[in-house]
Amino acid sequence: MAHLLIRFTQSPFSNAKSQDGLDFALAATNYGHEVKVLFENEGVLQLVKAASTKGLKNHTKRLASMPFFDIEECYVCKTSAETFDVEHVLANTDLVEELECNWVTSSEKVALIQRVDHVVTF
Amino acid sequence: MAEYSILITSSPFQGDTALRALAFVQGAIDNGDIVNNVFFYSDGVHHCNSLMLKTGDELFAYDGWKALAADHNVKLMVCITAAVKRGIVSEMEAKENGIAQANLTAPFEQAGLGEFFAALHNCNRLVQF
Repeated sequence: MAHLLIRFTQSPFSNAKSQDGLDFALAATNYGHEVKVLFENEGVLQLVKAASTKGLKNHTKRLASMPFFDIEECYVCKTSAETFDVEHVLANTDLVEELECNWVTSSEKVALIQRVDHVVTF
Repeated sequence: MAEYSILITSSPFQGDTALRALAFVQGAIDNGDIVNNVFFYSDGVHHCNSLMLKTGDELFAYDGWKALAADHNVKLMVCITAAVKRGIVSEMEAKENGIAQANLTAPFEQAGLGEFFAALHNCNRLVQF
């Protein structure tokens, strides 16, 4: 069993990376690996609640399913949230609560990376 | 001795990434380490399109992967879900869907994320490009 840290660094709808990254994370736990996720850079925007749009998968709903796939540890980069000015938005978002996200500083991110076997970035 | 799993998520056209990936795999093999598999996922599946043509003096990564498979028996796995939605189809899908041409051929083989994660249990290093 490997401990994986999966970094979500892209905004939810700018490219396919956010969707591919989530598929990757959900598949990993199915095969006996332990997964932690970190929302970083533009990736913090994935936590802003998005309304359903016909023809697009609802990313908010899909992220909310992570606990059902045994992804229990979610981290959000504090600096990134400040950069994109979404700290207050995220603090009041159900998704952040549902996923029981932990806010992390730069040094805590380093410690997080050191605790896992592999890091994968999307 | 290390056992590597190589994850390719960048397209062949993304800067020098393909060049570094190929050099890394070759280096690991030269070093006596094992490369368990190369897994093409997300935009990385574009590496497996057999209809690409070589241009000028640029690196043609497709030939590089084929050489690694031929010379060192490196397993080249392509995520089937990511591939088909980007137009990388095998003979079977082409036939089933009435597409004139298949563009996924050996040594590239179709696999799922499941096969990648199953193989990861045997690898102590995972490197992403």
